[in-house]
Amino acid sequence: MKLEDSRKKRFIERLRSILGEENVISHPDDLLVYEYDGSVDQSIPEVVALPTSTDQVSQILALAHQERVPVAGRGSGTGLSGGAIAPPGGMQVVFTKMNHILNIDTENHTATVEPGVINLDLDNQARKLGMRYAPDPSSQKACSLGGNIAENAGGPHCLAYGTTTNHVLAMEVVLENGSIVQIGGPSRFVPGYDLRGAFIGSEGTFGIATEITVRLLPLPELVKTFLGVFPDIESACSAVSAIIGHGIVPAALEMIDSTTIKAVQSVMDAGYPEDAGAVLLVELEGLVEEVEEIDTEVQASLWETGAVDVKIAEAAEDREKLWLGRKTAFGSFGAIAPNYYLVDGVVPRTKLVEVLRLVGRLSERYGITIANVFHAGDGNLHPCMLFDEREPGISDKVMQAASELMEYCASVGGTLSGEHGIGLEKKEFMPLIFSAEDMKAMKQTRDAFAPNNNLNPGKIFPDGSSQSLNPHRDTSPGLYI
Amino acid sequence: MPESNRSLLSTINQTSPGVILPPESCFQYKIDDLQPSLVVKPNTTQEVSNLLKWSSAESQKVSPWGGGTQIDLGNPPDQLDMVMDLSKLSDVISFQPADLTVSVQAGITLDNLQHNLESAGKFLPLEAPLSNDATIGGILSASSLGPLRRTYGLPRDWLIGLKVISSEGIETKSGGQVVKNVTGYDLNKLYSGSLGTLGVIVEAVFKLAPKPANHSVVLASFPSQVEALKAGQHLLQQIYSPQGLHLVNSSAGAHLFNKQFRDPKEYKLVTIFTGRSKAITRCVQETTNLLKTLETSDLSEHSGAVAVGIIRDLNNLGYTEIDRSFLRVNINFPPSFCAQIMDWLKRDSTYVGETNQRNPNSEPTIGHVIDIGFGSGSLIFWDDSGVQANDLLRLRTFLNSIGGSAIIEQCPIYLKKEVDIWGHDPSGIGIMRDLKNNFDPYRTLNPGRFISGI
Repeated sequence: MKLEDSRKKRFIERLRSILGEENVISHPDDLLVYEYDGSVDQSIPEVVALPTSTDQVSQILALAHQERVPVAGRGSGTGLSGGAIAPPGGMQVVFTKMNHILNIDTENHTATVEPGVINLDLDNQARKLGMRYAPDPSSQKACSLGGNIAENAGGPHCLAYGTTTNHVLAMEVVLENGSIVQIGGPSRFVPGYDLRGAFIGSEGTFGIATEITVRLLPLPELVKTFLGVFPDIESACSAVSAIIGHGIVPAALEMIDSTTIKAVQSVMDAGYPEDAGAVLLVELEGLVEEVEEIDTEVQASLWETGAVDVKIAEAAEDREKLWLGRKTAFGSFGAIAPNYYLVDGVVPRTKLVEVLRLVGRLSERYGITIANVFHAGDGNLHPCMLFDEREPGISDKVMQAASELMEYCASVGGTLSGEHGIGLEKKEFMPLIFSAEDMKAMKQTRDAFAPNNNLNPGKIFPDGSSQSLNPHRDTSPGLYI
Repeated sequence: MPESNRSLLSTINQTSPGVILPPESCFQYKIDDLQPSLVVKPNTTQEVSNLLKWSSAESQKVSPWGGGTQIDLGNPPDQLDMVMDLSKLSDVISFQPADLTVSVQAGITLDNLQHNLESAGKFLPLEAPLSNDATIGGILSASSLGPLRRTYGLPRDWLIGLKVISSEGIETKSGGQVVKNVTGYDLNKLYSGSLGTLGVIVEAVFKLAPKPANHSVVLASFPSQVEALKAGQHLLQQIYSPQGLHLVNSSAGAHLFNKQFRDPKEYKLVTIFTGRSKAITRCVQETTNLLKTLETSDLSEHSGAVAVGIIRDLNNLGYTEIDRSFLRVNINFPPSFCAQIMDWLKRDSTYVGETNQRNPNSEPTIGHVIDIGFGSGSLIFWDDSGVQANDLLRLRTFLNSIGGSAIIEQCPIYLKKEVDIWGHDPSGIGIMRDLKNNFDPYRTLNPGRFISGI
């Protein structure tokens, strides 16, 4: 519901007195910028706050709590499940001004950052000191660490190194009533309940992180990237099974299907053969001896499962070229159709072939082009349904196909989301995975952090109010999966 | 026995005959100085659920029990009526080698599980003392760590799904069967390390790793802790840095290697490598080359079963029947403070420090094993050398001042009554108390044992 004018005016005045005139956005034209994230959801916030310190975040959250104005945090707005979308009548707290790397500790291999720091900026700074920040969402050029915390962001290299939750040591968080709590700590092991682990991936409903300490890893001695070219997606899937089944966990193992290859090659030359049925990107990292030993096994797995070509890159620029197509795949879908709907389901790795067959059948049955570019090593699918909103009835077909796909993932022991979160987009599907009692335990956890449910209310849990597919969302460069 | 307890007994006996152990077993399940009046050994998850339903209805306080290897961890229970031994829930539910995942019941021992995985060349990177008895549920609840913690991380890092029975007997699950999952809140993390105070873990799903082809250990002796630490820190900066690296003083070394050290000031550096053979060969070579340039003696390399044995002994140090410690303090700290900590321990004039200045001529009787890469360590007291609560509190105050902590893991009851074994309340204690209230409102599970008396 919208804020009444007089209440809104008073609220904005008090926000201005805390943050200063320049850090409060309330003009309807200016607010439009904050209507979307990377998902299909939309909502214009009543007001946008741009704090510059933990103390300010604490004060504005306390104010919102007192005035019962719901709050959503927003980093860069690259999320794909509606996590940063303002709740109705709500305030969006945007962290673009809290974007400083506060400290890089070369002795303890940690970095302490503000939540608005861009993932890649941190990684680049760490690399200058011989270290790196391992979680690398495809959006890493744009996404923020605060957003990564909220969504427990993944990325191609999470196959070997784990997702955001495996790399965060400590956080300063502001709770819904404005109180400031330190969770985790500078040591690897901290006594007490693991509040840090519960907080990460809570999609902004437990609190807002204002200072984050992450672990940095040393750079590997050798990195090798392989591009396996396959005649069809099924043989590429068997290569995935062969590699994992042989006890090799590469640093990354990514699949790109023929639809995506064509889309990518139509906007740039990523070196992917246009007639290939699928390509598989495999990256190995480690000591020279380790990589060389696994190299032979990976190549054997690729050839034995039907690869028609295997390209190998070792120099950084050659590897980056092989990766460029993967990282910009989502943006290139605009060449196929103007609108998209993306599913983030996960299946056990041995079910990849089956689920991709289903994707093919759904594509045929509903007449929707579906591109597949995904984290094959984790079993994390990203079927992207590409369509033109002007085609009558297409939105319903897309939603139907997406539902069937999520139901299938659930039926084979998989899940709804591997890295994008539930948010607004998938909340009505939660009962496919979790019972009412399971969700009650989750809400009991939330109630310990945010008993009034004033942070990102209306997300994650089903309430029958799921938004229907918004047909106006366009595919464009600057979107990432 | 109170009337309520008798009614509970008869209900359980009717529905699940044989689940209640004979009364004479109760003394084997003492927790600190409390003996339960009832010990149950459920065969199924449903029985766990029924038993908890009954016990919460009867206001009975319950402590879950796995292998009992870490049962000393925790403050004395406020009250103890029933111990629930989960060791009969010991099945592998499903093992998918090609998916690199396994789903097990919580009562399976770590060794038994590894044995199941080994045939398919897979391995679960968890460690625990007495892994022949330690169960998966216990390892998760106590968040057990071992000599390879620097590489393996915490048990929570490998956990992808759980089935838990609440104090009121309700079954819930968190996570799932897949290795990457952000569907709903990550309650796996919350239950890990919660010492059974939020629910009873009955099933767990893990992601797996390929079984390492080989293990190697390089041992080196140094005339003092300063040189040993310098060498260790040097190794940690190398590209071939070891998967585990520990400094062991002469007291711990004497137990570990079953021989007295020539010089009580001597320190051993235990360097562990695990993984593929070619890489290990190079790491061992480069490590020994580097160590030879330093002030080291008794440099030795071990591989295969001998190396595995050294790692196991390090893991079990102070836990086995023959060398069981009287008191054990586990310390955690940011690795950069290692030198200050070791210096503090050396200089400290109490019974916690290495040199016991109340009897300055004595050799160190307190074992120190310090993991300088992870930032943790164990101070192991093999006998009652007169350590007092104040000594432990001063150690804790020092560690807290550098962002660390001291958890008293094994402790005689008279000290437990004077010192909180977890330390003082952390910043998020209000949230922790609310979590306990929301999950276990009647304080049925392990009441008083966790941090801040939760």
